Amino acid sequence: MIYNITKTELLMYFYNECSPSVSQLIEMELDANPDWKTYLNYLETVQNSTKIDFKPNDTLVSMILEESAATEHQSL
Amino acid sequence: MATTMIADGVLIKHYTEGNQGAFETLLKRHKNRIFSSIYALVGDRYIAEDIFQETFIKIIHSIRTGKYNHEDKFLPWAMRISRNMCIDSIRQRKRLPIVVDSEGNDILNNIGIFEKSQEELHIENDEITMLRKWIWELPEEQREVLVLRNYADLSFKEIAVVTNTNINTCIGRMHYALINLRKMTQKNSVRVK
Repeated sequence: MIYNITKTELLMYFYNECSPSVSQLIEMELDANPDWKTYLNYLETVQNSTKIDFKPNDTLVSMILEESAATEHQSL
Repeated sequence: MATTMIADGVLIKHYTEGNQGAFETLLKRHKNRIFSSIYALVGDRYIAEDIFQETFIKIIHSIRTGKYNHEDKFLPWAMRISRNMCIDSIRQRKRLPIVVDSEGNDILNNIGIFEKSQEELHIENDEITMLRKWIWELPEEQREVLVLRNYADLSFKEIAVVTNTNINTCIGRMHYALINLRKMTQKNSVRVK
């Protein structure tokens, strides 16, 4: 039986945003649909390329915290 | 000591009541995700830091003046503020005259997401590095959805709100972003697993 799962549904499934029924169907039929796997693997690769955290430097964070504290002190 | 994570809306409420620690918790919870998204959108660490600081100054001001009414939707709200600043920055930079170095190269090409920052020095995977570069070469609208989904981890529904569009438009842009990345991959013959 051929299941008409669209790329949009696979995309939503990958990001845990699809309906439970579609999610369940994909999981059940994934092994029988190598194209789906290929696409999901590609999505994972793209996601992995964005996995690095760019962190703001500590001085910047301190400045923001000072700003938030200054607000509080003014209100006292 | 409480181990349950306190919701963003509760932290903001505590902050308005004078609890500075609550704001610190909120900032530390979201700072990397917000900063990563800004950096990925503008491609320049220094500009990203400016926008990050301005974003939080605006956030503090809005909370202080009672303008925050998003309950627990802090991150999409913060991303919307920073996203508007990023768009302004990108448009402003496009209007700048091109300044070249002694070899005739646009100096703005030397500043960006590929500058060797501390986070990137340990990266050895060429395929992922190239993908990251090509993400920057996507059209602005497509890159934005990709960044907000993958860096900020917003849902497509939240992205639609941040970008003043609808969910179908966001999903469409994501599809095109993925298609274009695939084309760049094939064109450059880099095998992506």
